[in-house]
Amino acid sequence: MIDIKDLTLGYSSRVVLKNFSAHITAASITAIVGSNGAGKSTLLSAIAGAHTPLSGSISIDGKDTVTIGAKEFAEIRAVAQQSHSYWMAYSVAQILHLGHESLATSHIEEVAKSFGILEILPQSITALSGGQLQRVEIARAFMRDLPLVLLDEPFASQDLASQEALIKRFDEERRNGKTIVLVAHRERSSLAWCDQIIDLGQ
Amino acid sequence: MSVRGRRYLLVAILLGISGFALYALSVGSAEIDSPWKHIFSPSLQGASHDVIWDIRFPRVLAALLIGAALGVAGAISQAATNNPLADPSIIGTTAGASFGAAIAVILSIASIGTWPVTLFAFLGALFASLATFAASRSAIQLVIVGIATSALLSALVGLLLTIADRPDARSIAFWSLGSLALVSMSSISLLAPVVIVGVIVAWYISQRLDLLALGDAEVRFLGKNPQRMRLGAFLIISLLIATAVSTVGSIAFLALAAPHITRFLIGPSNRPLVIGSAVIGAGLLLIADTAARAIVPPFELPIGLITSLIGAPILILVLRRSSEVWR
Repeated sequence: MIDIKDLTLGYSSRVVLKNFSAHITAASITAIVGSNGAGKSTLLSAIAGAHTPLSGSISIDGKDTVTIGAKEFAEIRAVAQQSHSYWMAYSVAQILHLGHESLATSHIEEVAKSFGILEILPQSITALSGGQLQRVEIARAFMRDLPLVLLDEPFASQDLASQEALIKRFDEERRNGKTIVLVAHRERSSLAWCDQIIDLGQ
Repeated sequence: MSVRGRRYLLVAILLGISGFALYALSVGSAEIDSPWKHIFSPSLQGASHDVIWDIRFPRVLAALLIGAALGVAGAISQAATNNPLADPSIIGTTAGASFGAAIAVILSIASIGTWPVTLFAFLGALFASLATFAASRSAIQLVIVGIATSALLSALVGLLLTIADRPDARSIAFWSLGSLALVSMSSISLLAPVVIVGVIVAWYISQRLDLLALGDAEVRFLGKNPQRMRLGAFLIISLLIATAVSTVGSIAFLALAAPHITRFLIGPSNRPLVIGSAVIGAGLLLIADTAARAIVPPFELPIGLITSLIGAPILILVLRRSSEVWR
């Protein structure tokens, strides 16, 4: 599914990841771990196509993330960012519909239910807790049923019960053939349910 | 609020504005005997008829049209930049329009109130907003660069006015503070079609701008280009602001306040917001202009003072009551 070759990532002032290579198979869950500043989110964002590598390449099913067309890429991967701040009081239902105009309301509600946010659909997106907001973003990422889903710290604001529920959902999606790559701020020992762990170390 | 509730509210506000428009025709610096007789029988001739229908009527129409234009320009600015602080005077559009119009007048290319001035104002507005747009990479940069662009262009307008040794320089200065006093029926014939077309196009493109609430990154992940989505919005803002500024100068605060007040009443979806902001903007400017000419006749208060005096308390009240929107 994903081939990362001799990848160097960074910003104008510093390199955060150097000559990194990895392979991620389809229908698997991969966790990216490492200490603060090790480049976890930068790597995820590079796989998502939002960060251009300084050198090396990332290809998804043979397509380079730098040269692939925006429309085509949009049909391959969905991304849940850590959290985006909203200031306009759209309802949660409206936020889930945005960009998903072709999807039936029944499908949107079904996905919302599976992430435990069905009852907050009428609420304002600005009135949610951090954990709820994060689950809305994760639900959005699974809404279009794309083959690759990238999640930045999906557990950051979740209580234990919600974390367990999320892990169960990710497992279901993996069995449905989805490839999931997530950034985790957890102990390696608590990531046994993942197929692969990419440890970026210090 | 439900769709039906929104419609009732909008109809109620429209009725209120219509009633106030009639009242606005009846007040002013000229003493008129039985103004209501002339308002309800426009065919009666005489001096009173002329004051009401040739002076006050175009002014009331202009207040409604320009208020609507400012409200819609503000709503589109906030949606396009995904920023509650954005209004056309912050993203550089208003200063650009003033600059374009001032160039046209000072270089004697055209005189105030004619369409070439509007064209120059439009080009100035477009240039300033596109420059702001090109120099910034994110919504927050857009606001900071816009403030800088506005400061630069306002300074240039000030310099032009100081250097220009012309009898009408004073009137340009007056008009750069904003006033509806120079409006005539011929201004309306330019104003009305441009504002109506501008509001319709704004309404049409506004639904797509909802997507920008998700943030630029998510919009790109959906395969769309957020900057390209903004481009159309900036064209419409420039058109509406150029028309307003070239006819009545820059009017403070309304474009910021009207969309926030409307959002409090009917929610954030951009299509209803555009229509609502047009109505609220029209109503606020009509009230402000009527107050400006009715409080101390025969003198006129600067309209920008009144829009701030009326708009600011309403805006603060609205924001205090909508804690769900602003956390």
